[in-house]
Amino acid sequence: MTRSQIRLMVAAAALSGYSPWVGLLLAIILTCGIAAILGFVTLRLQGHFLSLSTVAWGLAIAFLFGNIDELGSHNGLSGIPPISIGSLALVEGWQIYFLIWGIVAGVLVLLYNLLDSRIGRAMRTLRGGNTLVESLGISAFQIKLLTFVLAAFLGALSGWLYAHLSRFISPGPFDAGMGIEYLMMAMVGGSGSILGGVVGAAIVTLLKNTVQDYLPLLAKGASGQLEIVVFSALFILFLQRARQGIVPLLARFLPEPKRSRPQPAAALPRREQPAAGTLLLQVKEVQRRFGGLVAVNNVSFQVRSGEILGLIGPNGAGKSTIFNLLTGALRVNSGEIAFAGRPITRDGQCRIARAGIARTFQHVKLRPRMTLLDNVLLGTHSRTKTGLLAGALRLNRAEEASARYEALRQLERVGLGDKPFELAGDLPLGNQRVLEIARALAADPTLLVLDEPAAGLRRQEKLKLAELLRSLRTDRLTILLVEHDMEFVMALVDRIVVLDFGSKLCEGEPAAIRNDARVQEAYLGGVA
Amino acid sequence: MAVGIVWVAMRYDPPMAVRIVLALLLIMPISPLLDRIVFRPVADASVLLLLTVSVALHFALVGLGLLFFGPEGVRTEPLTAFSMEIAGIHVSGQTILIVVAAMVFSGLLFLFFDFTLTGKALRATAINRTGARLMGIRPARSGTIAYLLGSLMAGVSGILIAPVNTIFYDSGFLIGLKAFVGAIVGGMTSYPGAALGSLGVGILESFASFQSGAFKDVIVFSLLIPILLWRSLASAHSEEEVEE
Repeated sequence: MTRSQIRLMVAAAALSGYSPWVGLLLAIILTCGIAAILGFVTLRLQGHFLSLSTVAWGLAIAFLFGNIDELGSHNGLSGIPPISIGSLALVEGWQIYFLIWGIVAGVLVLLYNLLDSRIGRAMRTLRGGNTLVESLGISAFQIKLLTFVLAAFLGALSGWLYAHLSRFISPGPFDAGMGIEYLMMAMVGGSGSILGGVVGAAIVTLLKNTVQDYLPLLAKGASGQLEIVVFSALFILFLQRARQGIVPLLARFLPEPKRSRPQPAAALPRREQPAAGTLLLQVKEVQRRFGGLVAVNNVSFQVRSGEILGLIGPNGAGKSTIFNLLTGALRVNSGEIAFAGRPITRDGQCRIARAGIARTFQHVKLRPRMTLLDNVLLGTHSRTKTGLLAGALRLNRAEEASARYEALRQLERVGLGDKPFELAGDLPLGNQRVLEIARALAADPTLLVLDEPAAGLRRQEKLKLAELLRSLRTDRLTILLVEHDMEFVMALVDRIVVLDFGSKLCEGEPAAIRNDARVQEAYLGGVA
Repeated sequence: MAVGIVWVAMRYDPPMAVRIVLALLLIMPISPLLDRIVFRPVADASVLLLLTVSVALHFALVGLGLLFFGPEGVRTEPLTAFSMEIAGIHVSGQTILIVVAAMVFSGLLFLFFDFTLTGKALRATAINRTGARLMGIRPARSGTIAYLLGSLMAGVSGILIAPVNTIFYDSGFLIGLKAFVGAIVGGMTSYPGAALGSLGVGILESFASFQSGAFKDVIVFSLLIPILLWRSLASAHSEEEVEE
């Protein structure tokens, strides 16, 4: 996302002819407000539409400011007063220098805290795709908007400092070129790390100055034009050699930070579990069409509290579609779905997750660069409350300790408790599946829905998984299992619903299903 | 060879047709070469990185352009002196030439991408690199061909527009950006769509500059946002996920 908002800030700071501190306040309010409006309109866009629209905003706003005389049009505004603290006016460069570095250090610490808190984890998860984020009960749009406004706030702060440092502003330093230079700084430093921004900015600025200083010695006369060429070439070379940026590159050589296992803490609030045998999920005559294809045709079934229900069927039977309908990833064309007595037919993924349905994915969706513990902590998002500010100021210690302990407990419950700080991407597939289950369990769900949990697992891994699911049933958890591995399902579930060509074929206990002629025909072809 | 071409052009002052051919010969190898030097080492990187690299490349090329051609613009003489009146509006031969060229090249591209094996291979590579590779298509070669085509189109467009607009060393950026916008408005994968989209952007810009010259670009780019919203909502999106 481009930081077009910075430009707004410039106007705000300049407008208030009063004290710079009033200007700062105004700038922050104005910038964040406008960012919220822009974000509200734009952040629903996807893919290249999103990036293009931020470019469009950036250009439109830049041209707008360049044409408003009250804001100095293209010539800019001069005579901006210096910042003063008490009676001390920060006129000299070295005076404001300390203020700037103080603010940078403060922001770094706050951001570091934030990224390590509940909201920060959600922000770091955004790149895993909307389905993952929403399945954790996190509203992806809300988090995106929050990130956008936070960026605007930082933009306002830096713009305010810049305006009072140079005491003159014009749209020039805020045009598209500068936005691109900021992007370069982030890439050079390492776009995935906080420190990367600072290091990248330092490297880019130093490099630029060096090129400016030494190039005239090598090429006389043409140095002005060559400067940008040499600079860009160096930059391209850098990105070809160190794609991750400099900070992650160096971080590899640092010793592993010492992290202590979470200590026992107060338990997080738990959901009221319904009594065993009550009707938990009711699917009633659900139909879903894709164009002319009826993927799911008038399917009805029920899940009762405390049971493991298997949903099976040959390839193309509509299992995954039903799964997506239940979890809100797809909408039904007709029919109703009710969960714990409440209709969820029209609810989105996030609301369904918050209602107590936790899911796993057929193609594992984990954050590979996050630790096992952090991945499971994501599951506790809907059970915790820490906001942006509390996270940044570390006012959330008690809740964070509870959440971390809960995450560790769930890791131990599934048998992954011995290495909580390993990276999720380093696990073998079987354990990644199990880790997804731990993450789902951390949400304290009423119903656990698993999408082909045995797919791609080896026999030993399957046996271990079945054992784990059985132990969850003894803990009175209700499980809905979509699977086509017959052996795995038969030995595990209480009841089976068989689908074929989008319709329900039959329903019953494993033994009865195994002997059902229709099921045999569907799976094995006609019985000759 | 490049030196030879330039030398011939400078020495003999050949007729326009020969000059066009020489210019195209000079332009066409540029992007495949850049592809080889700049992009191929990072071909499998993230989109963000590729984008940043291409922006850096853009800066480098603009700097070189300034170095070679200087800050003054260049305008060439029209390719044809022909002009006519259609319904009372004066239409120059150059304009007709541009429209005809656009249609001819759209048609040729359509034929290339839909009816030749090389064109189909290019499309396959664009959709899925690994899959295309498994089918015996070399992504590197596809890249070279794609860049060669891009170079050719850029060269032809440059020759066509130079008599109409004064071309500066950095004119390409805004033209390219607006063309990209037009293509996105038109849906990215359809020739008539892209043509209509670009036409729409052009008309929007003309009307905007008639209303208020100073706010021309403000109007163009802010009107773009509702269009983008509409396009984004209208096109179904598969889940996007960043590989790590």
